[in-house]
Amino acid sequence: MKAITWIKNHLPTQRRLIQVYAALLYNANLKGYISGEIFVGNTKAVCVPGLNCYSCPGAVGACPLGALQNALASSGNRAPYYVLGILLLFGLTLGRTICGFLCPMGLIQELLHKIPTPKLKKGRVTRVLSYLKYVILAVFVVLIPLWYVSQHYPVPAFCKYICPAGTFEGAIGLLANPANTDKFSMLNILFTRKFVIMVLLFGVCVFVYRAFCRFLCPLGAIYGLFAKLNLVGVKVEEAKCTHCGLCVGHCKMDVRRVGDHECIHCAGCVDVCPTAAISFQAGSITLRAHEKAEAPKKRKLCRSRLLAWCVALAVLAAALAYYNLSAGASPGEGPSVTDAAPGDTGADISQLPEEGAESSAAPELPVGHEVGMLGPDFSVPLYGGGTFHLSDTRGTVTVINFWATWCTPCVAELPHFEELYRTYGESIEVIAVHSDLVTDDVDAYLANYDYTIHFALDDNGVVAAYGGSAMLPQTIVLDREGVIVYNTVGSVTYELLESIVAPLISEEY
Amino acid sequence: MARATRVMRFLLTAATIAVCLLLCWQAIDIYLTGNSPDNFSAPGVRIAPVYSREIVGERLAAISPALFLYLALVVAGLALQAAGGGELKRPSPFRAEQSPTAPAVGERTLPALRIALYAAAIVLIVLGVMNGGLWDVLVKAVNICTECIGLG
Repeated sequence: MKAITWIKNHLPTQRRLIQVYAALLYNANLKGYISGEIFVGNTKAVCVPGLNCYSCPGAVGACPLGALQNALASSGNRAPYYVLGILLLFGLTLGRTICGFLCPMGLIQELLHKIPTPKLKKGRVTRVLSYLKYVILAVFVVLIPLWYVSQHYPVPAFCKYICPAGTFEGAIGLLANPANTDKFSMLNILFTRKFVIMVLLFGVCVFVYRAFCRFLCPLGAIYGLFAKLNLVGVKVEEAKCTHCGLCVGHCKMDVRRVGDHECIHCAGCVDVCPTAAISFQAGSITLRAHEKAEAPKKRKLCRSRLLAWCVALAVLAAALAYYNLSAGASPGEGPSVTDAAPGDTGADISQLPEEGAESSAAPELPVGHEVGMLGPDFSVPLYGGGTFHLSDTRGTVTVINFWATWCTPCVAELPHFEELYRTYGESIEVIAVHSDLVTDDVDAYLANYDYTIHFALDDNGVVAAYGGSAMLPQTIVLDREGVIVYNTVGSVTYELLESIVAPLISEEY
Repeated sequence: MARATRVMRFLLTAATIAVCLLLCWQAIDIYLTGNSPDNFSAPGVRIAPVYSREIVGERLAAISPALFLYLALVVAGLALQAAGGGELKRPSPFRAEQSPTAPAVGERTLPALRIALYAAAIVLIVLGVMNGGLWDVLVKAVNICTECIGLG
């Protein structure tokens, strides 16, 4: 009997179950954790309501905050209607109920806060700190990405410098997989800084309830703007309220009133209210009321909650089956090659040789993407007209760079390739191949610069042939014989490029 | 029981701070070691990556006893708390300074405002799909955002 009482007292609450459910649903691509690859299906065009990094191997939707920053960063080309519309829809419907029920970061913070240590209670200092998230929203999410728009340089500043979800779910989620050992070479000061921020934030969460959510999360700040409008959340019945303040005193967030911009609608205050004035509502439907008020219709409520859970579990089971068992959701089913091809070249695109096939030019070397192998031949249409044939560069050292206009590190390192070409132009060929995923007019983008290196579009699977995946930039260096001497994902410096290319040029054949 | 709980909470506080500092120090130390002059053959040309699976593995193995100890301490603390040692909980001294109810937005205007904003949201989404915003989100989401996750 004692054991049963103990279990009853320690059963997870409905809210905790919903939090776990949401985290599972957002990250339903469980096979990604095994393969170490991210999901690339079409459902990633839809933003999930909570903060969940889209570079997490399990993520099946896009992060609304990452999407907003990138949309603002590319607002020079098109207005960010889609992301703003999605955020408006989420905000109006759920507001900060998302923080309380549907955010995986919220769940992590609450679990960390369960570690039994002395807790820092809310007060005037935390209340002042709670406004910091609005500053972060303005500076890191809006101003910095917009500032760089004029420089054609996409910078999702919050993701890049702060976001602990990206470090935890994305970076650590990917690096923990043995398949991604090569990604370690990309880690640098950015990772060190973000890792330290993440550890410190998680540490603070042990002592301070939802520290990230209360003080730093810009997504919470956005949803907080809908505090008076959201359809689903806790509501106070004015006629019953005695203004005793028990609800605000009980709440761990920095609320001044129930349902204000700091309230995450966790419904923790519902049972605290002595007059049963607080209830959790979706429009006019009461989803949860005070125990006293619920008692007469408890049976009916239990039945409807059971039904809701059955439907929810069926949805989760279907999602897990779709993302993990269905062939239709395999990584190969991503967006197809864009129709925004470069200038009409009319070129006959050659077929890439299969990996491992022996080359006719150098029969002793297999064709492949690894160092020491012969680089697969390819032909790609050039921006500005013409076709680039790799076979034409035989006898010259060739540098191939895979890039995209939407990839910040790629855009940042292009000048290094240009400088290399200007220095060794006579002896080398440099080609920058744009990913087949095109969001901007690449011709218009290139018109802003006076690059002299070749620019082409990968409409023939060149990136895949050279071992590329969903990660950019990637640089490959081929010697005069077409043998790969360098093939690495990640940013490069001019000095590094020169140190690879210079000895190859000076070699005598 | 109260004394045991107090001791456990003190231990967990110290251990949490220690584990956080330990993890931060490991990351900073790997970075500093990886960026020592010995790791460069020429300015800007690194011989080996700052982080590698081997180095990270070694560091994790070195601090794993501390991590396991911390985990054991957390489990013990939770067990102690579940066994009835939670009597140290004090109600928050913080009380409402103002009325706990939100000032009501006009009861008539609120639904109309909601409907207008819902319509605006739908129009924005449709416009976004038409102007390629949906494609932008998809492209960014299906590629690993290296700088987003601290790799770029």
